[in-house]
Amino acid sequence: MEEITNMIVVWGNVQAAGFDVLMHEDSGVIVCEQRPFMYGLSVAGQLKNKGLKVLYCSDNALGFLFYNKKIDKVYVFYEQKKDNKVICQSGTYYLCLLARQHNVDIIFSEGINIKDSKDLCGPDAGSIFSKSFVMAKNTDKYIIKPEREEILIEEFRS
Amino acid sequence: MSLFSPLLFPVYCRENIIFVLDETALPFDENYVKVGKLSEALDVLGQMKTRSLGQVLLFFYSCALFNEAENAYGIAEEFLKIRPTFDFMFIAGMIEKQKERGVKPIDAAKFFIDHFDKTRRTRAKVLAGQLPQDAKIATVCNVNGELIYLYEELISAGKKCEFIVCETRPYLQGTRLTFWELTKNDIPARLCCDNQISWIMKNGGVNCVVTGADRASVKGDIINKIGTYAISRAAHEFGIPFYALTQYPRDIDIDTIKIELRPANEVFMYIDNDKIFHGDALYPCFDVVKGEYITKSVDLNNPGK
Repeated sequence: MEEITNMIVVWGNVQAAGFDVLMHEDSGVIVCEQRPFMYGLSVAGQLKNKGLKVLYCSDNALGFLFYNKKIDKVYVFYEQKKDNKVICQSGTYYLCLLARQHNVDIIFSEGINIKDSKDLCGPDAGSIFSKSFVMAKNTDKYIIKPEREEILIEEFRS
Repeated sequence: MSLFSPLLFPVYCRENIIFVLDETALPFDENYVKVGKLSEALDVLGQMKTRSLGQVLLFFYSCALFNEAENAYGIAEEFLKIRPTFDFMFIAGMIEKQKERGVKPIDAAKFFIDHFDKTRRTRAKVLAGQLPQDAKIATVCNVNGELIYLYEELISAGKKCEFIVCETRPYLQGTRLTFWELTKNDIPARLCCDNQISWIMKNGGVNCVVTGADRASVKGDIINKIGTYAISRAAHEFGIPFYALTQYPRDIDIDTIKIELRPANEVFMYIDNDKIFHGDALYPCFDVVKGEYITKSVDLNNPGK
């Protein structure tokens, strides 16, 4: 754990320009799996191939990493920008809230829209790729569908 | 009302054999692994086949049946090599104290189980009295059937409730254990990805949080499953009460406790090998949550306090 320091969290579906930005960072990057779609699997591989030092973790490990002061900066690659808001994939608010609570800067940058992305897994907590873990019938009733989250940039400006 | 979950008593002993509910096989199979020697007990622990209450029961029965170590402390040392975050030494102390009084470890185990079950029912009743009339309860991981007791107490108090269960990656204890045992008993429950919970709270979908605690300090700090810290901070942000089900709080600095780091490959649980990321990964098993983010710890031995 000691060797993990000054990390940058990369969240969202990074596009080409985003990779260029990240290439100029000296620090290692943390890529979370980003349930339910698991974009992290794809993003982590792409960043590693570009020579970045990548550490992969589940989304719920973010709190642990913030608590232990391992994170210096967060990049959120949003899907759309509307006035003072960005539209992002599910889970972005979770990350942004933790970042703000730990006084970590968030940089919002344009990413790829979910509908343009390949590598889709999901679409919700009921399954991982094609594996379902829900025994109950009528799963729509039992699963909270992930929503696109509207993030008010001002709320998270340092 | 008579509801049941095998997770209420995930480990039992019969004719000098320990039977351990294989929690990794749930919800698809309810298998019990037979444990006849200490090395097998350590294997099932290391393979995450049991945890939480199950690991306590496994420890009790191991102390009763296996004499590879001189005393319970020796067995605790072996268990700690596998699960460094849990306080097996404390349980060993309880067993050794009983032995000094002439109580056999197997009888100490039986007494513990009876006492534990009675007091967790009492704890559920106390907690039910404190939750809202229409409780929307967020939870994470699994508290061995205790949410079923909580549901029964809420209903008998004339309250309504629904559980919002975080899936708890990577092992999916929330999905595979908690969500399964709740829906199996027709208890209202909905499942979400771990990272959805803050958004759900922001939009009013949760009005209280109930979690377990693997360790607790007398200052009110806890250690619980990874993800608990983020939930506690989100709950605090939105003024949502956070209740921790604790047992045996100790006079310790919670930050000095070693957090178990599981093998990196476990981050990719349930993902096909051709899809995983081949690089560095991190799986810290637990979070620390400081008392300032916990509204109330409902302790097993003094639930009304």
